[in-house]
Amino acid sequence: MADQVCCVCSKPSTKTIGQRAFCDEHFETATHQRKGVWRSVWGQVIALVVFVVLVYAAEAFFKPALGQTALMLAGVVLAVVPALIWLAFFYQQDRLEPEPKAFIASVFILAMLVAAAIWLPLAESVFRLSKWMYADTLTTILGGILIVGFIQEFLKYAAVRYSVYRSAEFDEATDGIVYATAAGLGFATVLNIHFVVANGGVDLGTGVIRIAIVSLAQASFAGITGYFLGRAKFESEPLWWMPAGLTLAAVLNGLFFWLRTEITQSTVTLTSGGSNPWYGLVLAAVLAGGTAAALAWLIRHNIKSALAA
Amino acid sequence: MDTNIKPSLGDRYSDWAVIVVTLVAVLLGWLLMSNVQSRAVPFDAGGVKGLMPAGWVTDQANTGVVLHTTELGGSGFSTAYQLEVVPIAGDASPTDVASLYSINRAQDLNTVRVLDQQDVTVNGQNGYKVTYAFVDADSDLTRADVPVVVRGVDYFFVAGDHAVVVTYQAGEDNYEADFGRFRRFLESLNF
Repeated sequence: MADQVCCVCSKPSTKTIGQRAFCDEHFETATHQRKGVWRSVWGQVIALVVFVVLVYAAEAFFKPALGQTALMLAGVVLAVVPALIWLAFFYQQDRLEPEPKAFIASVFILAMLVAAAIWLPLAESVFRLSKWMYADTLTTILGGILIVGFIQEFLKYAAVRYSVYRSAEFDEATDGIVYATAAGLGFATVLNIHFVVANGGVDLGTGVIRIAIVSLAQASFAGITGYFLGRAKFESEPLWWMPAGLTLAAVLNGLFFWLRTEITQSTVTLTSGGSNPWYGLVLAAVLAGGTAAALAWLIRHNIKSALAA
Repeated sequence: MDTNIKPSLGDRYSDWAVIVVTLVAVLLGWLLMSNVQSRAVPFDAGGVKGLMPAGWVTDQANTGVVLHTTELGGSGFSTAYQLEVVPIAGDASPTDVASLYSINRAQDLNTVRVLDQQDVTVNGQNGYKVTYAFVDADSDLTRADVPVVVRGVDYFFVAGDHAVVVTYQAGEDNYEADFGRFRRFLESLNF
């Protein structure tokens, strides 16, 4: 143990978890429960649903006659709201050991950049997804997993792995989820802004539902990758561990968007439209809540196991 | 000094494993895309046989047009293939037919510009090719889109007492990317 150093700060180590060596301070951080993170996730899901309901109700009640420019501006503002809600809850709940704002912001902006500079050109100019991916159900699911899922999840993974991952601030497994969620929300923000701009503005009611769905879903998928990433840093995992985490997130990504399309479609009648986006929001809220619950349980279980060992 | 007691394979090669798995998945996705886009169904129209893309919409044909099929999905101008069989005088050449078409097209579309024209050989059959562009502003008055630049190409072949005109039209953004699929359609034709 004497020639070992802490895997976080490189000070002389005193304890180990699995095959990783830790100093006293970082052993504490690696094994303490961080309930604020989970409260911020629950808070975000609830606040986002409330926000959607309020915007939808306001739009239905006031029926604002907005021009195209105003609709586009409103849509862009709405696209940023999910990230702001998460940040507000996160810093409110994580006051005892807050992650540096600059690190969170860096990961968020990096994810926005890779989404805009890599994902959107790939989706629209290289793979031209809208021209073939909806040919049949199997193609939609496989294309959603192999191309949409894997590329999106890899880019969010890369935004964390090749930025803050090696820093001393990334000092507990839960940080993987925190930073990956920030990356997911940055990614979602660009997808939403692009959707608004490409459509020349959106109907506020249905637009805000779509924005919330994309944000919750992208943050959830990224959270899964982040869990695997966090454990990969603080525990010695086998070779398949990180690829398995990315694959799980990619499969969920592909399946979620296929399922959302399936359940939001309804029969077109003379008096009603052909889709009900509220089902999609329910699905996204269940996904986000379920993912957070599963990850919270896994983290708690891992800490107990590490301490017992 | 080491930060780990004994680095596992996962510690050392995790990044590469993620990259490899992602690349393999994307490669499989690319193969899926190629497979979907190369799906074709046989047709036999006006004495011309061939393979047209599966899942495309076939329109009601105008006079002389034996096949007009357009792609579903995407936005803007829908990529279209058209086959036309027209009777001609016995000594008419593909160039003569192309000249007549150019005049007619200029009358129908006042924004059309011929970009290139040349002799070609497809499947051993001599023909003539005219590449052009026009602004699609009047094809569907119900569309609330900004007019788009459309690029097109006509292939003219003579077979006995009739000419076969094969047309490909696509939005400027999709023309090059979709040309390979049109090339397969063109080479599948038998008349």
